[in-house]
Amino acid sequence: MIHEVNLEFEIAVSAGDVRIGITIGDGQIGGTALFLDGHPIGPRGAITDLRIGDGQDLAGRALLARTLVADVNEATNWTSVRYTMSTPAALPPMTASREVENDQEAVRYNTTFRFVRGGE
Amino acid sequence: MMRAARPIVAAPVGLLLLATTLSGQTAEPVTVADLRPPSTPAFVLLGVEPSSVTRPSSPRALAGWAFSQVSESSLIPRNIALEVTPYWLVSRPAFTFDDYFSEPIGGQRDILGTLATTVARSFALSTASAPRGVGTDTTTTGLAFGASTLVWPGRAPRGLMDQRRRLEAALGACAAVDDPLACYRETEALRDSIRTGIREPVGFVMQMSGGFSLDSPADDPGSARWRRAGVWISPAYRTEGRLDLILVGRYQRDRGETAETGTSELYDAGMRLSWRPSSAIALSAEALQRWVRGGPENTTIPRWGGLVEYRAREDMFVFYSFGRDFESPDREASPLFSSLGLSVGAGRKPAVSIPGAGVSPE
Repeated sequence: MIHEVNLEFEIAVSAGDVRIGITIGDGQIGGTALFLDGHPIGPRGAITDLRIGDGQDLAGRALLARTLVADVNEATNWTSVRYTMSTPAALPPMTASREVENDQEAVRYNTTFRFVRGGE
Repeated sequence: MMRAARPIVAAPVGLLLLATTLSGQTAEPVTVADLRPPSTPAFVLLGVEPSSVTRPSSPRALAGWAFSQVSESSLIPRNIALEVTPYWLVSRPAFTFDDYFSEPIGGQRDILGTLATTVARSFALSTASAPRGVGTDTTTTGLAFGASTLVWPGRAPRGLMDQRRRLEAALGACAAVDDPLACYRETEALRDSIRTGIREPVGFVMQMSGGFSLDSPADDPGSARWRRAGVWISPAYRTEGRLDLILVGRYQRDRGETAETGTSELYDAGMRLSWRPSSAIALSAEALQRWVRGGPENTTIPRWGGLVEYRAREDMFVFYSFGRDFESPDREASPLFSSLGLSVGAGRKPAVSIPGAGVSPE
């Protein structure tokens, strides 16, 4: 069984690189697919400090991060995802957690980052 | 307390077609594997194998379990079995896959950091209670508490990090589709292999356990007295080439059933070397030394044995074992043994015990 978690964050961006990193917690393993305005971008799998684009170009656009986390940790059924983003200033990490009912289930985190124009 | 006698070669899931024993044996063999630190020492010290163990996964579940025990009519609840790993009662977003091992990909971790992370994530508490018949008294409740931990985690086996990357890529592909369930199911074999890799690290690994048990006559906590205490430690080294070296040490102190029987102490030290040169052949040798202090007499008991195991078919094993077991109480039979056996099992790999040593912990 796969559980779905839907999240949405609003991110203020200005001129400069916007980057994202996605860390899987609780000793689990996960892989991510990224979509910018519905178009796939970046690699499928681990996302480590990936450049999304320039903040001025991203304002008004949406980044969807779909991360599927598998329960491989026999000590817990918790899963978690931590998003780190720089715009280019580093933002506080954003974390989501979900516990599955049974071993070997999975959770898909569907997280949308809406970029809005921020202060220069 | 000694266990009842049984044959030195055990084929629990199989049909023993041929077994020859050159000498009489009188008690269940204790192997190095039997002396490794148990994950639930409370159960071992109490001598129970509960059919159902409560393993709460959240503070609320733990509190609910505790409340249900308090509300029982008996002051000391009977027939409880609990194992809890405090670290995993809540989500741990900062604990990543790399934290399972001492040498994560892309760098080294400092010794204290590895030690702290390993002990924190593996430290487990166990408790159990059960009715205990002491002589004609049937009102005594046995109660035990224990703790276990992995002290040093070892390294990731070769190939595990590659499997991890493959699973990350596969999960990323699954995440992209609208209904990922069918895609996710196709990763099952890879996920199973990764779980095995987490359970079986290579390099240096060390585990410890300890605990104690009490007897409480007539459900009266005020009259409880200690019954048994034990400490286990096991450093081990496992290579990528299927060569394992396991050392074990155990100290156990037992109080007799009555004042006359007194207190006895057992010190065990042992090692096991095993080598699996191919998937069909396994060779192993082990030696144990036991020192018994107190009780009727002080004794020192050496044990050693070897085993050659050949997998003739997926479900058929031929094995030959030899060695020196403990001496028979009648002092007439030779402690040397040699046996040849054939095991046809329903499982993938029948558990064949190596005869090694004498007095059992329970």
